[in-house]
Amino acid sequence: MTGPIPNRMGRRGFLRRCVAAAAVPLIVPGRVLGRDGGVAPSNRIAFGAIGVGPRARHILPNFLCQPDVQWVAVSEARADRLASAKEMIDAHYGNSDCLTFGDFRDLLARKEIDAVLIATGNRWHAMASMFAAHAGKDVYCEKPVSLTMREGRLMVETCQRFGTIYQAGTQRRATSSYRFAREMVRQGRVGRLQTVESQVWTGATVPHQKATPIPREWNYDMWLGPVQWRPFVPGRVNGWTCFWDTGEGMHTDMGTHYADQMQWVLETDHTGPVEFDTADLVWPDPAQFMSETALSGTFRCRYASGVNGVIYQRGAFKDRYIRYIGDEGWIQVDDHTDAVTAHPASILNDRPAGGVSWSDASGHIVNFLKSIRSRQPTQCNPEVAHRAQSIVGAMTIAARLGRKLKWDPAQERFDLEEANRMMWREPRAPWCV
Amino acid sequence: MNVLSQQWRFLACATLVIASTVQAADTAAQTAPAAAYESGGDCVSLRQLEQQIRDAAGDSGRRAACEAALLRLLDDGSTFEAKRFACSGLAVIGSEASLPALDRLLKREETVGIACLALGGLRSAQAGERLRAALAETRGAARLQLVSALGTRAEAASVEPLVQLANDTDAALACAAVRALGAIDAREARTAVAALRRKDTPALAGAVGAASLRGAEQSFVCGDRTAAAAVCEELLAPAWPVNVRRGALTLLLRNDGDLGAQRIKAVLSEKPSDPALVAVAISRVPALRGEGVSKLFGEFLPRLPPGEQVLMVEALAAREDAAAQSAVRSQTSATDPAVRCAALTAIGEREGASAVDVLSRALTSPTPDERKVAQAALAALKGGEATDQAIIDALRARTGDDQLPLLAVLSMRGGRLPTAELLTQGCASDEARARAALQGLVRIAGGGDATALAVLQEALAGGDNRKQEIALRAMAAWRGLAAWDTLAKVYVHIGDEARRTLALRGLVRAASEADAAPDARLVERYRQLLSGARGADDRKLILSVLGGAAHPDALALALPLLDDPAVRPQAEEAVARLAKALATSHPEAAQAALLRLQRGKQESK
Repeated sequence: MTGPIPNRMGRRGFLRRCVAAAAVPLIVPGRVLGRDGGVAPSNRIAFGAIGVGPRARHILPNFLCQPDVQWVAVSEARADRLASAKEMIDAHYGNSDCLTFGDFRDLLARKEIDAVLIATGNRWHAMASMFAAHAGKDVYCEKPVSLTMREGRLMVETCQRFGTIYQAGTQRRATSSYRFAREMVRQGRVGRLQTVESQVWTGATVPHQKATPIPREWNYDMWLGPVQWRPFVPGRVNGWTCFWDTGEGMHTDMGTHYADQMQWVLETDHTGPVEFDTADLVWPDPAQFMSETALSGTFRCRYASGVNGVIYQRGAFKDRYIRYIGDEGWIQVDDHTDAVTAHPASILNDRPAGGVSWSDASGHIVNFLKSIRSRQPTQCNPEVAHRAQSIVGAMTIAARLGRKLKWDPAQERFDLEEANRMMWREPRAPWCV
Repeated sequence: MNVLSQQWRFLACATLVIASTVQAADTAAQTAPAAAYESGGDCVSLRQLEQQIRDAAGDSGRRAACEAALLRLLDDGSTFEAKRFACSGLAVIGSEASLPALDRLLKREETVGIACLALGGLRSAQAGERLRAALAETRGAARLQLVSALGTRAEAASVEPLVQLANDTDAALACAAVRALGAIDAREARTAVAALRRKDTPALAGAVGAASLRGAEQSFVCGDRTAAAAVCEELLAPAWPVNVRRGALTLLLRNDGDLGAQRIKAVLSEKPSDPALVAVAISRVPALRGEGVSKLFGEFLPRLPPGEQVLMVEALAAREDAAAQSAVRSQTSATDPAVRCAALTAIGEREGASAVDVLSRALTSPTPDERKVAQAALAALKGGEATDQAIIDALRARTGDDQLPLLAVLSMRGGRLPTAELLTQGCASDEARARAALQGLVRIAGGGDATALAVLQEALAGGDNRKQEIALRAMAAWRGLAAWDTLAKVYVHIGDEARRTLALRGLVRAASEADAAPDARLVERYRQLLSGARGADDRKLILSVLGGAAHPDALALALPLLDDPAVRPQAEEAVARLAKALATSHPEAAQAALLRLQRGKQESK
């Protein structure tokens, strides 16, 4: 078991920790948020969104329901999504006040906005966060928090430099089932932890497709952002998760959640594994498909403590899980159903009923809002998020190079120069800061 | 040398030349498809080159050949996408051998970006020189890309050209140049940025602030604390954007010998205060060392405006020493309700039995929010049963309606003692108190607390009739199946029909919750329920939820009830639901059930 085992707190103690303090928002005057002009009329935290596609629409209600949040603006590279997001927010407030911006930099220039939700595609996450930090905004950014490991480190440094309050969208740290599993592992209920095993689903393929003219409602230049220019190909754009320079595949996209959980349970949030490798990778047939990322395979890491991490990419979407395997048992969280299973089953007797599932991000958002006021770090602050992302990023590099890699988490370097070079991709101007 | 060995030498050389020509031709043939790649075409050749890159990693011999293959894709005749692919590969294995080819691409707007991509991984002084040289031959977006790439490389040799560009009339270019200067860890760069601060160009303020902060960081790291602190002090001026001021203060606090204690005090004492800086300063209080610190900042509390008092209460609470605890407790009687609430919450998160009195007093606050916060804080208190007992003692010391909030607190805490006390209170003659206690037990039932269940089971088996009834009501609301066996005994054996019905309702509710994941064990539970049914009403109630257990055995259980005229409509509905749910997994059974339903309906006509 890595790290000290805390006093066994039992079910009631755990339940007590899960009981949220009364949902009375701590209203802090705008002056504390540093706004010029003194106290804001509503004392709410003003938000804007950068990227309002499907993920933003899913998570926005969790923000809109917070009594101390006021949503004032949205920005998006696609005109149809921009209009739809404005409609959603205006309907919530019963007015037509939501501002829209085709260029997120204009949104960031608005003095009245305190914080932003970044829910763009993965290629933009780190860079948009840095733009926001430069503009003095606090950030809630969807995962994965970066595409390359070096841009992740730059993002951490930028947020530290400006005192930016940043929360990564790895909301499972606020989810009851995952918190319970962590508590049981930390209490030693599965014995000495040996392996953290998780599963994400089989990757998709994208057939070959020619470039087409850019649709009128798309600002493709902005959509592409820091990615070096390539022609507009609908399949490549809509299937962006399947290409290295925009998405890096499901072991990264969903795997980052599990890497984050593993780091949290092991209490290694400021370090990471020391070795990475892959096995049994199945790649798309290049004669049929232009997509690049793996369809299936095994992605592994090993910590200096001897604990192993494994991400299997296989099976269906509903089959995803994380399982903590010790020398006396195991405990598993099934992500699709939020069900927790364990051996011995008696572990589950201590599980409190109820609690929020991962699809309810409000606890995670409340943690972010509280940190905006107190300027204390969030639970998924940049360093934590970057370290988790680095795990799947390193797995990607090991997969692409087809070899085992040793990693120095203190220096953040591999033992192979080519791997180190793959930690960075020069961004496209002007979409870099 | 004899003629024979000369001939052998000639033959060997000729062989080598022919071999390399053939190899070149082979490799050219191999790269030709890749050179012509455009989206829509197959990418077999690209994947082959990627395999070569993989094989070349760590192998200098293979790397040169692979690089040569990629460089062929940079020829003028190649497509843009081929060049882009090549540059991605050169980013991984490229060497100075690639510089001439990349040089050409650096000077064209459509390819400068991918050329910078290729050079991004090449830590070579020559590569930096090529980028700087290309500046003179580019304009607009191309030049911006080059400046950005120079910022990534952060080479001291770039300072001079970047200083010139920082004065360019193109604001975007100038800002990029300033940011790039900030990235360079060199005295000349920091000097240049300092000059830009003095110049005070509004359009560059953000970039200059960021670059200045980076320079200060670099100075701290290399030990030049005086210079670093001087820059930070400059950046604290109100004219700078709030994030720059925050960054400057944070940097100073982090590097102060006392972790910033004196500086925090100074920030809090400043008149007028900078609210953004005050919040940052207070956020550092938890990390300060020494008990004197808590006393010091506790004394600051009354001087702060309410919003900042709230933050200071939270910060002090995080210190968890006696002085901090005392300071936080004192704020439960602050004049501002938000401050009082912050204190109550902080106490609830960190303290135990000794805090029951102070939190209980807050239950009588005239402010509803404060009462709610006090309740939640009492529920969250640490200390296990010692705290439970303290709350029970506080409850018993009160009378009438004053007891009701504490009953709710006990229900939020759950566990052995609270459950036992709620059972006792549920027998009270005071109707409001009895009702509140029962509601509390139902709430505990919703949490599925095993120790609470044990208390209820003991009460049910005990001699107190009233407690038995209350315990049964609570168990009938139990979440999950833990109370099943106890309820089943009541259902099957007890003669009291009211209790029997209550037990059945509880069993049916529990079964319906389990319908989400039906298995053979659940169906067996339904079988038990049906076998214990004493009339049509019982069977109707059971059928109303049996239809939700999508399991073939559940269907088999429901089918015979189609022949029972007293429950036929309920049986039909259950069978229809089950057949629909099982249509994919058990098509034959589902189809047979539907046919039986249809036949039955026809016969009844």
